[in-house]
Amino acid sequence: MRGRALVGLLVAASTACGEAAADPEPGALSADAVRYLEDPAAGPAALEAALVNLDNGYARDRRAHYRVGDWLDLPEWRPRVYPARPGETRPVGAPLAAPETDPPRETDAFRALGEALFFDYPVQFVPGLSVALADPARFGLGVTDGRVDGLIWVDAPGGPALALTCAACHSRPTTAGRVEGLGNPDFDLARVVGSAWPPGMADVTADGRDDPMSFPDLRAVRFQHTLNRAATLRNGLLPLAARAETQIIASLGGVARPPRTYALALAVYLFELSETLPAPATTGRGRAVFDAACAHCHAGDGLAGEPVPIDRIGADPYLAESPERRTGYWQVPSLRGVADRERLFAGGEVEGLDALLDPGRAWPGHRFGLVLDAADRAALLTFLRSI
Amino acid sequence: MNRLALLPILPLCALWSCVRDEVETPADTDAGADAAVLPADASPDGYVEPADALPPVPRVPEKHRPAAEMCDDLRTPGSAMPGIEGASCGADADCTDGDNGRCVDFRGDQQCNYDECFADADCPGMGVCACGGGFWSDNNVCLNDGNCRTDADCGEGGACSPTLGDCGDYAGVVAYYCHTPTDECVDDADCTGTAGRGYCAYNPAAGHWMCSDAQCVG
Repeated sequence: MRGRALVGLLVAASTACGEAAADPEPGALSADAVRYLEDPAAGPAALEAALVNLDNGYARDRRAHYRVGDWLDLPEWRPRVYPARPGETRPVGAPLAAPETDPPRETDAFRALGEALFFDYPVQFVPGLSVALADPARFGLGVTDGRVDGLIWVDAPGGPALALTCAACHSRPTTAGRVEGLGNPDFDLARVVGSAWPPGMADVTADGRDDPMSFPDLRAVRFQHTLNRAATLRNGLLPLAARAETQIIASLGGVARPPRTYALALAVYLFELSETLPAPATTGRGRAVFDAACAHCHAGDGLAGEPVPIDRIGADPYLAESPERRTGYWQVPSLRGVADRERLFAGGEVEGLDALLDPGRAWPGHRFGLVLDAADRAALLTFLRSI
Repeated sequence: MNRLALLPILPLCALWSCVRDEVETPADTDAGADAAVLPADASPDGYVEPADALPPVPRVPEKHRPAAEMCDDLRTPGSAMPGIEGASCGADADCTDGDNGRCVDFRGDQQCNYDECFADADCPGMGVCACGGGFWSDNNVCLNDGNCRTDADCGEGGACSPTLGDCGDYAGVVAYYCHTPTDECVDDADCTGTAGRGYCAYNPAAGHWMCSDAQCVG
């Protein structure tokens, strides 16, 4: 593992610091994206090249199954779905229009498709979701135009069933409307499934350990150098599409796969979400404080960085050491949009920016930015709230 | 590899259609004449059509529900401590919005819960009243997301069994589903060992039981 990881990091370090994935470009899809659609081997190749640690469970599982003759030969998962409305015990009314399976090969078309899938494509069945549908507010789910965000009825083989969509964990309801892509700190999935996690967290690793992580903010995924809290994958449009494709296959129990069009559309949509984030200022006191205190890790336009060794942060290593995802490193996340995030760090150890930069906080991790005078701290907070 | 993996993949069986006949469809709701129904003979993309009657499951599962049971109204006292700042309740007597309220600790927060049911008929649709089946508590709860209540709902020779979910490491029973001839496992013992994964659970995407392990999508 260490050799592969080191090579990966060296390659990344040789590129301009702060650069993350460049795709997609406006207009036509890139040649790589088209190849992902047309060549079944393109996704596995992209994922293989992006893996940081070939010895963790995630890598072993994908390398074993994400190939022609196995997962790539699964039937496509395109079920009939219905809106989920508060209080329903069965789907009522007409099904939603089936998503386009062959849209024009343009970024705008794939972004629009990806947005629709983000809210309407079932990614995991969770028996017991009916309790959340009965009382969405109690479970931290928003309601938009009469529909519960993140829940969908599915015409499943055994009868109608509720499923999660991406929006359940990655769309936050606010008084001003939902924020697409932002981790929902209030979604109480644990109460649905009977686990003890706090709201806004879930265990997404099949490693036999209870290691829940906070729902990440996907709006800045374009800027990330790596994907997953444990920096499991190098970032890029194709790795992200392959990641989406394989995580859906895994959550369905390996019985079906999303069409590659859908996986790519989700990746394009997530990359395009970065457009909703304001560009950081390049001058001013707050920016200067940031550059001095934070930019050695959070750099470039994306204010993200290369992964750092686990002990550099001082967070509970339990999550980073998951046998399924571990690389020996933590992802250095993009700080674009950080002010909107309620749960910071993988374990949700810190709630909000004020707590992060409070020198008196109890949590001992991530001590960066704590040795500031009041004026500098205020300027830094103002800067971070502007991005 | 369990022996059921050798069974050929068969079309959805008439056992499912028997259940479906008894399952409330949108036409049975109060949605009115304009409400579309789930087409009885449609072929949803990727699914196979219900077929004629097929043989019952090869053996009786260790866990199944031959008959419905009535739940009692006995509950242990709640675990609440009075005077906790911010707590939703401090004593069982504070919980009066339902039957047999108890003030219990859940994730460090004290809150009320109640018996949701005492019989299956108290639950909507094909819901099963799980006696003492509440998570972290002993309240009776409705499990509404399955497709059977008793073995009889699954046709002659059928079996209606409790299933865990596949999201959450410490989840209890979340629903009851019929076993099918396409099952890849019948009991948890079919899934243990070096060749198996975790436990035997109903997979809604597959429409049958198969070995599973807990992993929320992410």
